[in-house]
Amino acid sequence: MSDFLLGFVVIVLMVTLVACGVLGDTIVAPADEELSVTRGSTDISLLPLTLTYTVSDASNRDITVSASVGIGTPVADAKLSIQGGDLGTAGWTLLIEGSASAGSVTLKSLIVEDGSITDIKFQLDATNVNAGAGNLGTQWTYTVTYTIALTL
Amino acid sequence: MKKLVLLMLMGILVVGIGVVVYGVQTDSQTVGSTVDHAAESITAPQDDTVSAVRLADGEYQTPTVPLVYVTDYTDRDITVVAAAADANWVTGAKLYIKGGSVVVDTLLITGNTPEAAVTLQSDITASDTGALTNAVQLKLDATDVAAAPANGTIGTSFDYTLTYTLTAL
Repeated sequence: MSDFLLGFVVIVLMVTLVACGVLGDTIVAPADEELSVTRGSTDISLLPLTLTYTVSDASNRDITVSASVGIGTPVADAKLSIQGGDLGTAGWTLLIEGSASAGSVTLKSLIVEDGSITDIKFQLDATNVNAGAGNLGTQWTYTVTYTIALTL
Repeated sequence: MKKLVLLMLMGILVVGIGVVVYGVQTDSQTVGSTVDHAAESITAPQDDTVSAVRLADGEYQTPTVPLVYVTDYTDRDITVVAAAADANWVTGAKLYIKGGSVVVDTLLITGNTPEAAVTLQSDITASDTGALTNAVQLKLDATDVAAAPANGTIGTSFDYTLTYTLTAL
């Protein structure tokens, strides 16, 4: 292979790299949310939240979601759950309990084109919080992370 | 050597393409969360009836349904005061209480003259179904009641109202 030909191949690959970068997937998380509940009861998002995404080709993608502690200290046994997308709106899927994450949850699977999930809601459940639990009345935050990736 | 370098560069670029195409994209939101204290409450024991023969010390009666409370705090006290609920109180009759950490006869009211509030229990434990360490017991003492009391009538029932308070002193 001549030096000229090798140089040409390199240029083609670089152009391809740029093209792939431009066509990468995108995901935009819903707006921040605030939930407040009295011990012994539950609170649910007032309005559905919307997540949007784009995909760079027709390969199947999954959107997963997980939660972790952000700022502050959660009240023990408080539960943050989610619904929407493929999870439906009839029940709730646990994301995190106190400081213990329940792991990653698939919110929507086999995505092949741009779209959105428009029915996301959260539930903060304090029904199992014990009397006198630490940090009652003090706000903390959960960071909810949405990920779009090729279907495994 | 030059070709080798170019081939390595191609390999790096192929890896780079792979990273872009198969890379994952993420975004996050913040969910602010607050669990507030449950409303505090205290429920007095069930109404009770105590009696005594004039010149005799009555017997303690324990209400069937005990005092219960709800609180998320541990700095709360439970106190009780008594007041005559009608005009039929008998002069010299004394109502005593014990319960909680109060284990000896403690005067609540004589005739229609109340004593200061009695602290039944201090620094109670946070609970949804809290109860005193010892249930409330009430006793009417008529040892100082005269044959013809200045107020009230022997043999006629009268009522006292006992008010229990859950509070931070």
